[in-house]
Amino acid sequence: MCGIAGRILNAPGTVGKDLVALMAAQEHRGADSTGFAVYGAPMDSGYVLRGMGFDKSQMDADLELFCATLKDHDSDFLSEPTIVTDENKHYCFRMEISDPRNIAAWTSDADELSGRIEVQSCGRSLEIVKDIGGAEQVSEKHKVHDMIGTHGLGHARLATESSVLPNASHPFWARPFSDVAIVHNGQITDYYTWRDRLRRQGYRFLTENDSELIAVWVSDQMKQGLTMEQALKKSITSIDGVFTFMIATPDGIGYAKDRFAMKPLVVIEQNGELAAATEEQAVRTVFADECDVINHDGPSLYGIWGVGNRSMAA
Amino acid sequence: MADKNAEGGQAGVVNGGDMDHAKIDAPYEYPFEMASEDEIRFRDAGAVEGRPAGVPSSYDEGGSTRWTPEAISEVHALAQLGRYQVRGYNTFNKQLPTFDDLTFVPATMTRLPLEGYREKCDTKTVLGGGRGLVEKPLELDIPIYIASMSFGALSASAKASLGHGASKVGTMTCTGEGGMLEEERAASSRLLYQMSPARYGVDLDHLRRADALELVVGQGAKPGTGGLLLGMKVSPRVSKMRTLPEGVDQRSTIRHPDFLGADDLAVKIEELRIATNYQVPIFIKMGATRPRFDVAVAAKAGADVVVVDGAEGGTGASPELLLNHTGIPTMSAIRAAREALDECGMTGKVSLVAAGGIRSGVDAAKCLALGADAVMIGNASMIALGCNTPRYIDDYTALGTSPGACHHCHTGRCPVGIATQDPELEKRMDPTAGAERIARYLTAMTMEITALAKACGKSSVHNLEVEDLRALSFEASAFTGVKMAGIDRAYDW
Amino acid sequence: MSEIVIEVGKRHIREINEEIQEACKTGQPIRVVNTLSRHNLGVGLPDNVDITFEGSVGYYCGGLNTGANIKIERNSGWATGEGMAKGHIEVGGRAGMSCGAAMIGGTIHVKGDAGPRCGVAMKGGNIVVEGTIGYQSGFMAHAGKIIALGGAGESCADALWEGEVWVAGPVESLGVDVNVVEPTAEEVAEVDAILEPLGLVDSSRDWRKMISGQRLWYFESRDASAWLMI
Repeated sequence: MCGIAGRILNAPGTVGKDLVALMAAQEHRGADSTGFAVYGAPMDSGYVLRGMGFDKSQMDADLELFCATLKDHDSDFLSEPTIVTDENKHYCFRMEISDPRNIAAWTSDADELSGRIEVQSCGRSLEIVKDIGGAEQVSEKHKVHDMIGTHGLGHARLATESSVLPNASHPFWARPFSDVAIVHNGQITDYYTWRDRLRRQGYRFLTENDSELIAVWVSDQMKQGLTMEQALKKSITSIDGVFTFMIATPDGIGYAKDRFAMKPLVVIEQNGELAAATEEQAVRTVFADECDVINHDGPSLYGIWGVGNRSMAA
Repeated sequence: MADKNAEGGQAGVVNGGDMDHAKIDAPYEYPFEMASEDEIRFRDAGAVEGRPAGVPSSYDEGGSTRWTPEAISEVHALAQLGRYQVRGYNTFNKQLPTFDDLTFVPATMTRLPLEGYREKCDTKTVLGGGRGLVEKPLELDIPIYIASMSFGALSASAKASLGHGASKVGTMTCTGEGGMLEEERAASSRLLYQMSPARYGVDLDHLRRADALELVVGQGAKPGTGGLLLGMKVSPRVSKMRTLPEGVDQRSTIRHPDFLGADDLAVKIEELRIATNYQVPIFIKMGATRPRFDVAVAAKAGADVVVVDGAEGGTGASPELLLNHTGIPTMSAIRAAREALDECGMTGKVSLVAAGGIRSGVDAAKCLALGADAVMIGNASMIALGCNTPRYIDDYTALGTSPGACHHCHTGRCPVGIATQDPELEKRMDPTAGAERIARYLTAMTMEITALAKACGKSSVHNLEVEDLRALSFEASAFTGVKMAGIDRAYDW
Repeated sequence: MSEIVIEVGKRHIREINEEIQEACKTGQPIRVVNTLSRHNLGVGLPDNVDITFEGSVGYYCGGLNTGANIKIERNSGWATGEGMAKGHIEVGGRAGMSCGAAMIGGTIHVKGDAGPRCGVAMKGGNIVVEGTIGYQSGFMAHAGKIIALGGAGESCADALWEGEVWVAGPVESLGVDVNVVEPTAEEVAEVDAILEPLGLVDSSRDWRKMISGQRLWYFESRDASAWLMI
C-alpha cells in the first residue's frame, strides 16, 4: 500500500531533490515511512554502505563489532562513518568501505549482527536512505535533496502486514547483490512460500516485507542466467498477487506489473530523461509543463529504461 | 488405607514366596456355577443376537470422526449439484468460541458497584466525531444499531420495521448494498448508506440524504467475497433498484470499481467527503480476517469509523464453505482491532464498531468491554422481528426445516415474511408490530448492558473494560488476552 | 457571459471544490486552471453548469455528476465521472482506469484512449472512446453502452450483465461469457444517434457488439461447466 517513483537523468544531477518532490506529491498514499534509492557517481573500488542500528546507546559497540566483520574479510572503513540520530532510538549510518574478498560472504557475516545493526544498501553507487515520516521530513533529516546522481527510486509507505519500523520501509536492497534496489506497490499473496523457498537457498531476509522478496527473487533469477528483461517477464507469472514494482541497477530501472492491471504506473519521458510514479500528479511536479504522460496501466507489462545509452542486459 | 496396603503387601510377599508353580498353571474355577449367557449378555436389556448390548453406537450411529453424517451428506450434495451449496443465516462451525466463554467480574470489595435498579448509566454513543472532520458525527442514544442488511435480502416491510424500531430508541439502521429504500429512509431518523463494490443505485442524491456512508470491503460471513442474492429474490422492484435482469442469481463484485487498495482508498474517502460537503462520517466495514493490520490500514486511510464483522456474522446467502470456514471470531477481532488502533495512535480519532453473532445485551456488553465503541446486530434484529418463530409450520416443513432451525433466507421462501420478496409471504410480517418488537428488544439489550456496567461500577457503558471480564475457557483467553477466571492471568503462550 | 477562473495549484482540495460549487451557482462558465493532475476536482457538480479543466486532472474528476457539462482538456485519472447520474464529460486526452465506473446516466466522451476497466459496473448512460479501451473493459456492466471506435484490450466485455460493449477495431481478447453478435440496422442507428452530437458518425464502421452470454447469470448445476470458466 504505497506510492512509488523512479527518476532518470541524462547526466548526474539533482535526482535526490526530484525524488523528494515525487514522493511529497504522493504522501497521501502513505506517510508511515519514506525511502529513497539514489545512484550516484560510482566508486572505482570499495562500496558505500547505508543502514541503521536499532539502539543508539549501543552504537559504539555495534560499530566495533561491525568493523571486526570487515577486517575478517580484508576490508575496512575508508573514512569515519557518518551517523545521523534524532529523538528516535535508531540511528542511521553511511560508510565507505574497501572491497571485502567476497561481498556475499561478508554480507552473510555482517548480517549476523542484523538484530543490532543492519546494512540496508551496498553498492559502488547505490545509496538507500529510509526512515519513518513523510518525504520532506526524511529528506530534511538525511539531506536527500542534496543527493546527486543519475537515477533513483522513491517510496512512500502505508504499512500493511509488516511493521511500521524504519527498517521495514522501502526501497529494499537485493541482499546480497550489490547496487540492486527495488520499490513496490501492492501485495504479494504467495510471499511466505517464496520467501521460504529462497531462504532454503541461503538468502537472508531481514524484514517481513513482501517487497524485499521481489528484489531478491529478480536478482536470483538473473544469477541463474536470465537477463533482467527475462526475469521481469517471468515475475509476472511466477509471483502471485498485485504489484507494480521498479527495480534499479547502475544501468537503469526495470518495471513489471501483475496480470490483473491493478496498480498504476505513470511515466513522463522527455529527451531521454524520465519520471515515473504511481500518480500522474507526482510526475507533473518534475515536468511542470503539460507534457504527454504514458500510462502503463494494462496487465502483465514489463520494461526497462536505461540510463543514457546503457542497456540493462546484464 | 495405609495399614491395609501394608498388610496386603506382606501377605503377597509371604504367599509369593511359597507359591507352587503347578498350582498357578491349573485352570481357575469359580466357586459357584457359571452364569447363563443371557445374564452375561444383558438379554433383559434387549440385546439382539450377534451384537453386544449397551454399545449400540458404532453399529447404529457410526463413530467416524472424519466421515460424520454431515460430511457424508456434504459429499453427496456436491456430487449431485456439481457446485458448492449456498445458504443463509450464519456459521455452523462448532469450533468458534462463544461469548459465553467470557464472564463479567462485577465490583465487590476493590471496586464499588452502582445501584443497578436506581442509578444512571450513560449509553450515549458518538461515532465518527474523533477526527473533528465532519459536521455531523452520529449521536446514538444507545451503543447498538441495526446492521447493514439489504432490501432484497429483507422484505420492504422488514426494512421499514427496523427503521421505525431503531428510530424509536434513538439509534441507526443501515441500508445494506441494495440501495436506499424510500420506506426505510422515511422510517429511519438516522440511516447509514452503504456503498458496496457493486454500487447498486448509488448517486449523489442518495449520498446526500444519508446520515453516514459506509464503504464495504468485506463482511464477516463471507470475507473476500461479494454479495449474493439468488434469483428467487431478484423481484421486479429489486431488479430495478439494482439495475439487474429480473430473476438472475446476483453475485456482486468484492473489489470496488474505482479504488484498488488502501492507498487509493484515501483518495476515494476524500471524494466522498467533498461530495457530502464534509457533513457525515465515513465508515469502512470489513470482515474480520487480519484486523490487526486491516483496521490500522483503514484508520490510516482516513475512515471515521471502522466496522469489524466477525466470522459469526450473518448473511442472506453465501457459499456455505465461506460461512463455516472463513474469518476469525468476533471476540478476538475486537481485541486485535482495538490494539491496532491504540498502536497507531487512532484510538479516540477513529471509532470501532463490532458485529458478528451478538445475541443479547450481554454479548454486546462483552464487546464493549473488549474494546468496541458500539455494536451492530443483524441476525438478532431479524429474530426480534419474528425470524424462526413457530408459525406457518407447514411452510417450514416445505423448506425441509422447522422453527428454531431455519436458515433458508437464501430461498426467498421465508415462512414469516422477513427474508423474502414474495408479496404474499411479506404480509406475514406486520410492520407496526415488528417495529415495536425491535424497539423493545433494543431497549432490553440496553438494560442488560447498563445492568452489567453498573454492577461493574461504571457510570457509562463505554467505561466497560477488559479488566471487567474473565475467561472461562483456555480458548477464549488465548483468543482475547482476557485473564483466566480466578488465576487472573491471561493464557500465557 | 464572462468566465469565472479558478486556480488549483497546491491549495487545499476542499477550498477549491467549495469555490467551484459557489461558482456553479452563478450560472457563468467556469474555467479551472493549473490543475496539476490533482485528484477530486469537480466532484458532485450540479445541473446546468459549464466547466472546463484546462490541464490534466487526477482521480474522480466529475465524479457523482448530476448534470454539469464538464470538459477536461487533457488527461484524466482513475474513475472519471464515477457514479455520474446525468450530464456530459469530455476528456480531451486519455482517461485513466475505470472511466465511468458505476455511472447511471449521462455521457462520457474520451477523445484519446481509455485505461483498463472502462465502464466497470456501469448502470446506464454511454461512454464513447475514440481510441481504444483497456483491459477488462465493461466488467460487470449492468446497463448502458461502451462504444470504442479504436479497438479494445484484453478480456473485453468481461462478465457483463445487460451492458453492451461496441467496438470498431481490433479486440485483443474477449472476457468470460461474452457473445459477439451482429448488430441490426436499428441498433447501429441507436449507436449513431449517440455518436451524432459528438460528430463521430461513420457509416463504414465494422461494429462488433458484445453482450452477455448469460451463462454466468444463473447459479445452477445444469450449467456446471460454466463455472469452470472462472
